[in-house]
Amino acid sequence: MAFATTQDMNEVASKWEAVIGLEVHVQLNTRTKLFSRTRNGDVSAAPNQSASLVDLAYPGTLPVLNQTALTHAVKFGAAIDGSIAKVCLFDRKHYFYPDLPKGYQISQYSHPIVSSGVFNLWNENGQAKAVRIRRVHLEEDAGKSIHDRLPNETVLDFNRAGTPLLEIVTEPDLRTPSEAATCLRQLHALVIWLGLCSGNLNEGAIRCDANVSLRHRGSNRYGTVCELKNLNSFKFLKRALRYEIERQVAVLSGGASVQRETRSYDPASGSTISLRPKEQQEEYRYFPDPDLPPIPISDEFTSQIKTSMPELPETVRDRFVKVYGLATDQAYRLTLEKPLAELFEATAKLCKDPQLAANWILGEVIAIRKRTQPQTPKITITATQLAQLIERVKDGTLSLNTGKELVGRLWATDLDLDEIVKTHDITQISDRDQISEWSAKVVDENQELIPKLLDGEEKLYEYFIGQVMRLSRGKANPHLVRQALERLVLADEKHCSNENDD
Amino acid sequence: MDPYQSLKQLRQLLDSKQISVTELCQYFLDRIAQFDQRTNSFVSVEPEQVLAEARSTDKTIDQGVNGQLTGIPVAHKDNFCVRGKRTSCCSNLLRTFIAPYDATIVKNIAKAGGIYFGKTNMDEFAMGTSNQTSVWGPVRNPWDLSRVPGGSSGGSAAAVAAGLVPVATGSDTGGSIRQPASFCGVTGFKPTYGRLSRYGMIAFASSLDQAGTLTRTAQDATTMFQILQSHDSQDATSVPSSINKKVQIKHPLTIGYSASLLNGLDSDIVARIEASRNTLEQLGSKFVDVEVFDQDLALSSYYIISCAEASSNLARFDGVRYGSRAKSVSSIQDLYEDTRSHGFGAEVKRRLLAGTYFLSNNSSENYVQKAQKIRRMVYELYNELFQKVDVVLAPSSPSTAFRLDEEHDSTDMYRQDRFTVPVNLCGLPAISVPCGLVNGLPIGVQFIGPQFGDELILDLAERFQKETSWHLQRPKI
Repeated sequence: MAFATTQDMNEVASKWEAVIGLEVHVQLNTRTKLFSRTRNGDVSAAPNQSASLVDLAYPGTLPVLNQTALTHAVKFGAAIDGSIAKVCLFDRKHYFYPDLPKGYQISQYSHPIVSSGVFNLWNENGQAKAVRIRRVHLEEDAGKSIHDRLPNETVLDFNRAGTPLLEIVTEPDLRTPSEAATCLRQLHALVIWLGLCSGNLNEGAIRCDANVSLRHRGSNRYGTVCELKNLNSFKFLKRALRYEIERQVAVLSGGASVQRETRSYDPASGSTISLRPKEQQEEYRYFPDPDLPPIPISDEFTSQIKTSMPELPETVRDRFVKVYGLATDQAYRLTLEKPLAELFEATAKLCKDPQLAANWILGEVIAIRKRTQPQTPKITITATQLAQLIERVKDGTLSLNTGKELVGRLWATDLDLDEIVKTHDITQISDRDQISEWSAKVVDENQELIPKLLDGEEKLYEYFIGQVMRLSRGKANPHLVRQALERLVLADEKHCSNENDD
Repeated sequence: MDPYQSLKQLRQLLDSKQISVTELCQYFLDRIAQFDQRTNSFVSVEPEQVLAEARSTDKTIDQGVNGQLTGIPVAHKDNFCVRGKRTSCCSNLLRTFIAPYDATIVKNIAKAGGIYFGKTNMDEFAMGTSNQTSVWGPVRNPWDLSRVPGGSSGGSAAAVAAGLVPVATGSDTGGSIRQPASFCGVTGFKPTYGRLSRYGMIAFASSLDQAGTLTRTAQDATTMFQILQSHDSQDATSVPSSINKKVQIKHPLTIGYSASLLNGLDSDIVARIEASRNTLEQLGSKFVDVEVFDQDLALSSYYIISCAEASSNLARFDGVRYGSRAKSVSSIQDLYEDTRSHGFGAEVKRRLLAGTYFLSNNSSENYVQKAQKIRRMVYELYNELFQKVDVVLAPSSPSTAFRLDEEHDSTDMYRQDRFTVPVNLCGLPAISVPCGLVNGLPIGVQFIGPQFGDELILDLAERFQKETSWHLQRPKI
């Protein structure tokens, strides 16, 4: 159902506006589960080995709230400047499903722990947009039903049952698939920044549903909403929304109306598939969980959390622009991860060149991390190492290429840069005589190319420089090589014209 | 050997080595073998294991290890999980369920040295007032085998009344300890909500359920209470140890009493309650007339809340992880339906259906929310009442034990609880002590205390029993 041309797309975009809201489930990285003492998030455990009697809802067992989960929720609430409930209350949400052990999920219905916050989204163009957060609440995760392990049978793994989840529900303030993806990416970044979540999307640490409807551009009424389930990567979220918007446009353009329903995204076909119609009012028989008496949340508790909060990414971003003079997009990228931001600031202070520090981190450091450890976001180079490296490249001791190579060599070691330089004989050679000698040799060997060089074929210079670098085993200062080559070629030209004069 | 000895007397017998633990246990096992075919108060007893534990306890006694309950048989109502033992709640659904852990109450008794003696019969999932809904058959009242023992802790009450065990645990959601205590002529104590752990006690209605005991005497109830009470970090409703639980006992006591409460009761029963009042007056207590909450309103509130909570608590019995599971089903829906249709008895189903209905979108406002409002009103009324009085006196049950073959419709049966449910709605402590015989059948009177007034009413009950001998009456079995 893709649109044939960009023109079609533009036409659609001028007529219709998408209204998108997200429901994001964040698995909290507490040591134990939300209501039991079982270890939380033990991905190495064999199926059902990380599920206790409480998690399995054995008769007579009772839930007891994990205080850290509550602290995490309040921390997130403080980060979005939300209003924190005075009392922490849990409700039971009833439905029968084999991987839901108690026949109900303990959740927060009538009194979410956080309500009405604001999440400041940075758009790609560097502008901020306030996305209102409707509610944030704590709830427990269910187990997993696995349908493809045995033929015709479903097997159950309850290891995930009882994992603490923070459900974040935005208002329908998002307007495009990429804006929605950006929102999810930044929420992802924020919960990791705050230390609440591993952020591991492959393990389902963050899961997203999206509500999407269309309306005529300029209208302020909402259309009929479809809920898209389980959009568990930024890419899938974007693609599913694109598909769904196109689908709804087609439905509406054909004069039909969109049905209120729950749909699932199929990554293989790139389409969304109807799962079930969404009843106007779902029957969950909510009521306050009598096993969990209300827990007062004192102002002292909340303000204590607020004062112990780390500096938030948006604050850091502003500082990077104002104090270090970075471009907004650089500041944005550096503040997607706390370790990156910390590395930048420390490196910038040490090498006293914030721009270079930013370039190195966003370039080589991120590249090497992607190459060597795509699964873990850890940064294993210190600010001291990186600052030293930047200084040595800047002062010409090291070539840029050698410098880049050294990032890889310093990675995950506690080696001292100067030590490596000394022992491995990789100091850049800036000896002009030596460089002239090599350059002369290269010019000599490539006489037939000189006329082309003189005709202004600039690319050939790179070839010549490359040849000199080869002779120097990569150590010659390329800047000086070019100077030497230019001098030699110029001399050659004079020589030639002298000959002609003869 | 006298089967009706108090814990104190049994302690003396054991400590002075007049009897060994093995002999004591053998004695009670023999009584169970001899009499329990008639009462059906036990649903599981494993004599070999009891004797093995008794023998090893004899050895520890020789080594000088001595807890308050060391060597003393204790039976548990079948809704308390005992590790490795069948814990069925007397339901078909759990008829093969072996508990993989001990309830905190069970642990506390084991820690004090009590010998686990077996499981007692009860109404299925503790829902009932006659002990007729058990999958293991009804319990018969030792005072008259054609009569019910009351419920739901009917097995525990009958076992203690028949002298089959000195003490038994029970649970009380709306009177399930006190009403059978009244019917069987034993002492039934329901502590303040939160003072005994609910962990491992299979839930009926979480906000009302409270563990307690059925004993021969108030003194034994006090001993058991001291052993059983503990803060339990596995139960979020357990009272924190930091809360000051002591209610000052000052004499003379002021006791609240509502004559209107007795309207419509059998005149012989009224006479026994009035006599109890006289006894307490002779002990120096002052009586004041008080207004109590409309019983029928409180009763409706209780049934709505308890059914609603039960429908939620029992949702876990789906046949997926434990308990009975329907065979040869073709879908998950069938598995649920068949498992639950065959697993639950009629009374449980009735309450689960009602509870599900009460919680549904269209009726929650009319039922559950109103019931909660009434509950708050009852709570406030009792709060005010306890500003003026120390204890409230009330009947434990509106009648003596009725016959098994009597026809009762559900609402009739539910009205059995009308003197007991306000206590659960407010989480208060209450004790039922025998106060007479009416036509040869026991009847009890209830002392209701303020929150944390457990020691106060236990003390009052002990003093009452010093002046009376009703608790010493024995059925001819």
